[in-house]
Amino acid sequence: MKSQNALLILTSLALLASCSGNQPSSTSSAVSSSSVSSASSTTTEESQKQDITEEKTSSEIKISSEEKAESKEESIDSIEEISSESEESDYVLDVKIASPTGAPAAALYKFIDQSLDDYNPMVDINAVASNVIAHLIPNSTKDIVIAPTNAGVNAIMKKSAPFKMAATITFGNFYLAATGNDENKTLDPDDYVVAFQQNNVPDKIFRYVYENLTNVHYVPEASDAAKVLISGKNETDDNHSVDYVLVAEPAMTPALSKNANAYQYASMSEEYSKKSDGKSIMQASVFVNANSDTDKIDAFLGELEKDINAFVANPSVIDEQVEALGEDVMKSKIGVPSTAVLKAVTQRGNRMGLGYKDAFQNKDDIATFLTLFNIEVNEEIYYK
Amino acid sequence: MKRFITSNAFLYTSGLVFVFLLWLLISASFGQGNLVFPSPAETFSFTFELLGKSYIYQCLGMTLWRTLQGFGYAFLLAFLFGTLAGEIKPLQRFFKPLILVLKSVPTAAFVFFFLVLSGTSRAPIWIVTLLAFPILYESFVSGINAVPQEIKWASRIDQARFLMKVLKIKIPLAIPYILLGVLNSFALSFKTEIMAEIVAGQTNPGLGSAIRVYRNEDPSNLTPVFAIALIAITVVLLVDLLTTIFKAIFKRYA
Repeated sequence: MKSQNALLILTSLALLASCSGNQPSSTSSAVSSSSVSSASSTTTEESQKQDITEEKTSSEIKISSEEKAESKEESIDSIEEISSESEESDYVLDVKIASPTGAPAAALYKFIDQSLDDYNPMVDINAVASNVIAHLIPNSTKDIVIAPTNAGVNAIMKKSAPFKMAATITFGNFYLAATGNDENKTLDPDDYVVAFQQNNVPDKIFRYVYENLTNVHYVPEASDAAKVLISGKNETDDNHSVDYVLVAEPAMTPALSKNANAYQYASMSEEYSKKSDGKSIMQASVFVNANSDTDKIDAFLGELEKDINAFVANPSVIDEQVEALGEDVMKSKIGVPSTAVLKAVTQRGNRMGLGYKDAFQNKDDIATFLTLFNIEVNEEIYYK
Repeated sequence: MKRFITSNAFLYTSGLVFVFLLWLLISASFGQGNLVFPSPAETFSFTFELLGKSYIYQCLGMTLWRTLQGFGYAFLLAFLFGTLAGEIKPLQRFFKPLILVLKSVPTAAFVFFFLVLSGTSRAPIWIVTLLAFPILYESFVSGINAVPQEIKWASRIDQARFLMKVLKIKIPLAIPYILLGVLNSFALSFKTEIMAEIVAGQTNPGLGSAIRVYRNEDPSNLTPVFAIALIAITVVLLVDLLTTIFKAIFKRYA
């Protein structure tokens, strides 16, 4: 099992390293092939010019690499600063939290050890996101509930849950992957697409971005979608060949490594942003209990923001907890294939979509996102 | 020869061989390797690999502990209400609709309620209690109802007090029925605890969360799921064996 894990990690890292120039769309691959064919027909003069150009280019590269080295040193300094800020903090958790697994649990990496108590944990982490909503009730024992934004706002507005929305901490980790089965490598309305969680958040975002798809089939969970991506077939539909799969990180990266023909076709965060004039997917938010001590809440929110920034800047900050609690416990708590994949996925452009944005200051983004669920919000739901 | 073929040991072993052959046949007929129905060989190989990890023992221990808690609460409640209902016929009739509801309600319907009541980690314990209570209740009621009439009359003639009658006469005589109920409901409780851990979204160590961990690790490989199921089956078989031994000892000395 350990050797299989190591192979998986190495393959994922190799894929990540090679993916930077990979084929996100048919247009860019067409462009790159035409530039290759034109480069093959140079004359002697042109080759001399090319030598000069190469000299210039190499000096430019040298300059730019020096600049890069300087900026890298600066960024290393800032990473160390952010990480050490988070590590040096002597904050003691004194609020009760409920959270789903995934990116929200990754944001709570410093407090995972306080979720292991079976009887009265400070942090209650649940692998089923909809179960977390059980805490958004009057007389809730939780001070903080991290929940899908739409579910939390619904609970506040329709069920009088005494909570306010303080911040959004995940901004979309959904991607459309191509299995390699589509001949024209372009998403057409009648292509066979598999998505997950029908009528829930992933589906709503997917349908918003791609309105005209007519051949979408559903599986229950992201892990089921990852399975489809690996095999390229939909077992629940008589092993029908699949062209595209909506899938979430960190399940996608290991799945891509197991199917040599598969690749990322589109990022839902980017496509959503294009379609909504630059707005973000406000996927999961922090809801605070209006009956709880505001000083404790504010202290926790400040600490959470620092921790998230530290993790995004340097995912290795979770290593301490991994060593203390063990890889398997961390995998269970965060809901990831392995902590190495989590770190790799975060390092490569924060593909978990973690961040921290004050809810009230970003109410336009929230309002836009909630229109997908036909929810209209008023300012009273925000924590100010 | 006939005696050998009809002996318990031979029949039991033949049954086991049949199960393995059936497993092999189903796995081969799907033909997709670990994706749908892993083979016995892959499952056993992975099971031995799993048994080398401390995490699986932690998970097994926690699932057993939660099962015992849920089962324990159910046993206490069944002892109290089952004994009363066995002794007082009108009470037995009064409880009948409630017991019927508890037996028929899908336990998944109560997951949300238990999550609100006691949080993620303890919700599976209450689900086990809900499942085991009706079975144990009926074992107590049946056991007390099965006490021979002569013994009931004798205890009345001797003017035995209520507690004396129940604790020293009827309950000991009802033990075979109670034991049967315990065995039947424990195996079911253990299985339900694993299912409840998955449905309730349990992330603390447990066999249910272990299944989820391995599914997340590689969604295309069902071998770990089957290996964990094999471990669960082995535990139930061991409990079955222990109960059989206990019954034999009890019969010998009773």
